[in-house]
Amino acid sequence: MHLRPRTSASTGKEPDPATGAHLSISDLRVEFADHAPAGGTPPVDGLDLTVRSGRIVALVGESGSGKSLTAHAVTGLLPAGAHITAGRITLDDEDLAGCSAGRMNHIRGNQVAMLFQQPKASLDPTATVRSQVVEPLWLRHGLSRRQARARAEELLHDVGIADPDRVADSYAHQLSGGMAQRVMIASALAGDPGLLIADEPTTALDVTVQAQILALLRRKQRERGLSVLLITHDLGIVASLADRVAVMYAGHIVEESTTQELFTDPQHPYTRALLRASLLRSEDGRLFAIEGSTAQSRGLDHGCRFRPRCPVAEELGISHACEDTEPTLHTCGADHSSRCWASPSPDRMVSA
Amino acid sequence: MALSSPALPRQHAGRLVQGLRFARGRHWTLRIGAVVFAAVLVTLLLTPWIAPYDPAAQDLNNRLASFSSAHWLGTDQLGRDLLSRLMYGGRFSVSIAAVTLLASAVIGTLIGAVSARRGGLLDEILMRTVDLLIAVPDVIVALLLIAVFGTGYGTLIAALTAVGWTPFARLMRGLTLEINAKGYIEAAETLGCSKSFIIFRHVVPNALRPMLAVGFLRFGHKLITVGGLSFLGLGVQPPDSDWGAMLLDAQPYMERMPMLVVLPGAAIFLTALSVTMIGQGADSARPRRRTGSSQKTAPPTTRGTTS
Repeated sequence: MHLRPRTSASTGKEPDPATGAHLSISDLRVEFADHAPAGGTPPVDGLDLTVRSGRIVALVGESGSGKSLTAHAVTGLLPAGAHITAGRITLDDEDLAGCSAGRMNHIRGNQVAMLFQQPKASLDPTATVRSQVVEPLWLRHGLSRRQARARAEELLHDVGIADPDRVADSYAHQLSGGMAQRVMIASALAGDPGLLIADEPTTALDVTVQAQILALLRRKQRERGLSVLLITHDLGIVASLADRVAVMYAGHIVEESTTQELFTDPQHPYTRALLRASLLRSEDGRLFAIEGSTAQSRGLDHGCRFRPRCPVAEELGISHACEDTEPTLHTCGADHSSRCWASPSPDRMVSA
Repeated sequence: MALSSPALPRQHAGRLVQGLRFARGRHWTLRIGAVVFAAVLVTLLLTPWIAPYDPAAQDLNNRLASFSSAHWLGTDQLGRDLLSRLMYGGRFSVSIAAVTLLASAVIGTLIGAVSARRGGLLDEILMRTVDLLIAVPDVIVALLLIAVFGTGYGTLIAALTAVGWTPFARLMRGLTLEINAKGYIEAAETLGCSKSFIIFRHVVPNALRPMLAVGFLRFGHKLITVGGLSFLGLGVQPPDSDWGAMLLDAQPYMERMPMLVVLPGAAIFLTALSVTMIGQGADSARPRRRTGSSQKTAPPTTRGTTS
């Protein structure tokens, strides 16, 4: 895995920001009903995110930052007790928050599909691959049994499975992790969705298999012009795959930019700390750790959420600004935005 | 142990050892239960062809006879052949118990699965109904239903099913809640699979093992309930009779001819026990892990032998 950012120029021209949005999330808030009055910030609070058509956007952040909840909010499958309490999610110009359950069920699989962290756990141990990849197809798209079988083998072949016939008749326990993830990719692509949400798709795989799966994802994305929301905390994957990166902290985006820009000129202190914490970056061979935990940021109801762990505020002598007012996600460069008082801002002066 | 030495040639002793090994090996409860129950089933299925007499044919000159070559198990108070009556009676007892059990299991499984998948008010209503039914003994409710709707096979099966589905529903609900948390359910949901597809394709197959084990364990209970109702005169009606009705008939003659009571009782006991053993064995038996589809585990040829 190289940490060399892909240049966004390699995939062609940037689409018009106003029209190219495939998935757009604005001011999303997800709350758990049962412990709302306890105060503090909801798990997802004021999240803005755009995935443009045919692009791979990485959503990066540590555990507990709300990445997976965001993904589940898009598919409409939030865990019990969690609800979207504010904001809009727009997919293909359709507001998902206002969708009926039936419509949402149609959207899942046909317009948005999802890959999970544990491919083997995502396969039913009592069913063959064929019955998991074929039957949904057969039921949903009105294919005959025979057509569905042929289509399933084609799909399995397309994700680099050399002997689709044998794999199709296998059970989950007979497949390796990498093979299982290939099967999951095949079944996710079966409904020909435009958006693929990949929730740490390679975390459970070993490194060589990881590279194969990432290459496969990249190939499928190019072939089909898929938009991908890639959720990960592995910056190596981000660098090799993503066009854009959104860094998430304590429920909202703290920095968003092209991969190239973010890796070469990170603006938010949290992003810088994340990059320093990457093993690939460390110069002295020791791993850098960000002090504290996200839990410290949960109780804050005003000011910057990263403040308790931030090294910059003190250094620059702006800690009162950080404590008083929460910074907005503002433009701090060409195609680059950051949520920090210390980031350069064209229209706002940081008071010292 | 010299007896079970593998060097011993196939002969009488070898067969005995094989038989012992069969009874003592892995899952012996499962094996013995299966053999006994299979024997009972085959006998009952073939009854019309192999039964020595018509179960209703009376021979008043030969009442309460003991074992003989003409009547292997003797005759009852009306001179009817006991063996034939046991065989025909078993057809009623076992089939009613089996049909009731199957219906209870199917209804209970569906109600449990839907209850857990839907949740909310429906779940509350269904589970409180289960609580209510479990709080009242089965036989009492069945008696009430039979009192209202009259006797007959249909009513008997319906009454027993009406009270019999509750344990299945409760177990299935618990299993479904557990399965709901699995990755493959989430994966199926994100693929946009329908609710019924998820229940039938993913939830039910994954709950099948424990459900089957409980089903087998409940069979004995059903058999005894059917026998009990017949003994009270509310089950199978004359001229037909099942094992419970045979017990009822034989009661006045118990002291003169104890076999009249012992044999139907033993038939109920053995059948119930064999099925219970199958259930227990199946519950404790874990499928052996196989790494490839073609790879089979070698038969355990050396087990129980020491050289």
